[in-house]
Amino acid sequence: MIVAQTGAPPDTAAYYHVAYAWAVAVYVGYLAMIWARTRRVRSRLAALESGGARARREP
Amino acid sequence: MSSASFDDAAGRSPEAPNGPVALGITGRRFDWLLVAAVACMAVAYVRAIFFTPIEALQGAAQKIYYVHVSAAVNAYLALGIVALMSIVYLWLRDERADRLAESAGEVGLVFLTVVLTTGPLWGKPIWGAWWTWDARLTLTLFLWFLTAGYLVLRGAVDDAAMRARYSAVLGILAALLIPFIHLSVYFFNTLHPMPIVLKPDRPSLPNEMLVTLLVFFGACTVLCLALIRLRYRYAVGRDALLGLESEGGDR
Amino acid sequence: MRPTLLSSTWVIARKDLAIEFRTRTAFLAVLVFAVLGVAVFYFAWDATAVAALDLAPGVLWVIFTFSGLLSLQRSFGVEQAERAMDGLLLSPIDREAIFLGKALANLLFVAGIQLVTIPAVALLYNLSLGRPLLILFGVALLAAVGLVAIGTLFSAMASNTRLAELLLPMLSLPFFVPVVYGAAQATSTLLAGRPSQEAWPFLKLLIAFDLVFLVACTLAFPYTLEE
Repeated sequence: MIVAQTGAPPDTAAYYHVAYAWAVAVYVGYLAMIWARTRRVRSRLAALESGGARARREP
Repeated sequence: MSSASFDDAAGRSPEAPNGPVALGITGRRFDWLLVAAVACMAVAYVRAIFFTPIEALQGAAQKIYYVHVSAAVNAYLALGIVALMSIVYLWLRDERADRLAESAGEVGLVFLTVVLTTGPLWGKPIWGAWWTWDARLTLTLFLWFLTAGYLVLRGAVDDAAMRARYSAVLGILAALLIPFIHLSVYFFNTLHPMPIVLKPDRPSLPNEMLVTLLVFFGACTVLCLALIRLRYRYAVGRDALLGLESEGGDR
Repeated sequence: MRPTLLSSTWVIARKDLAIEFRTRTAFLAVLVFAVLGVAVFYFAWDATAVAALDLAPGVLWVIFTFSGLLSLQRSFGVEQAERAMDGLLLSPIDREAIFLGKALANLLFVAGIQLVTIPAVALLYNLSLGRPLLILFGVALLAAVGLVAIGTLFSAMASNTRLAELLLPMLSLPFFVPVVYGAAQATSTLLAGRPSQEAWPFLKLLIAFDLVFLVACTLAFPYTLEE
């Protein structure tokens, strides 16, 4: 890592690590939530479609 | 789970006449936007972590700035979409506008959460305080409350048309409120100077940092749009499901 | 001949107030809550560290906000029973008049609460009476207009949802911020005996808010009714 100036800058690395990790966690967590919800809707739609199709094929 | 009716090229079949809708959420269409978003974010992160110098006076925590600002601008973008779609819905009564507002609202709340949590993480090492009631942070805090209220309202109304109308009204009124909150906070800060020094004047960023900021900002924007689209597609599928389920009930 | 906006407004307001004062229960309950709140809050602060004069505006406005919310909760509850709203909608009265009438009734209700609470605060917090108190009533009325415009609209919406009691405060409070801030600052400026010019920016904020949201909420109300 390049240091911009001689003389050590204050060590605030902990905050920076937490913040970056947290941001990733939030974005990925939300993405996972949408995916889970979408999968649930997909499977229920498919079940409805195939169930309905079967019912219509029967006289 | 695969059902032959969905593999039809146009997504249509006798069993699924609303084919294109179904294809929209079950289709194996490659979500290129989402993949691009993830790639861009990865690039932005790598650049910020490994290829951007540490700021001399503030240390590594200054890098939080890139995440914080990008999230903030995109949160405002998402909420701008909510306000716009609220007007469009009341004008055209197109449920797609309502669905887009719903999706943008949720994504906006996510980005606002990132802003409000990374803000204190940046503020504490830099100014020594977790929170200041300065204009931008306070406005963001109230935007969070308004967006949360918007989503709670949506969750509390069962009838789709009523939900859309109520949300649109709230969206427009919230947009009207923003200048008033801004004004209140401005008065508050000019008439009651804070004991701690407010945000230090941001020095003009050296080129490397400016590029990182722009890269991060661009990546977040792509992510924001990808998430809104993904959420919109979920909403389409959910509404289709509700439509089919209520039809089934009537039979 | 269609009734005018003004006469319709007054008819609706009179109806609501008549219902309210037939029983008077809600008014008295909110009144007791307001005065009780003012008394209880005195113990929340260290009286030796903070002068009562500095405390009073803040306490006053917190209490007014919450008693205002309580008053508004009942506003549309009146019509929920027996779908009385349908009858209102079938009459030749403008939708906007229904809103303005209800808002007016709420305003008079809230103003009534303030009329009793302000002297109570003056008493308990040892404030000087006279001209400052009159100015206080004026500021309170101005603020009440803003609170009532927002609250009446959101009360109308919330009463049709599952989470009515939670939604009204949750949606209204962010909107109350400019009102409460402007009113509290104007109040403290005037109570401290400072020249009224200092209070003027806050009063301008209040007046601007009132105008904008009275119009906006009146126009928005028809959208909250079924087609």
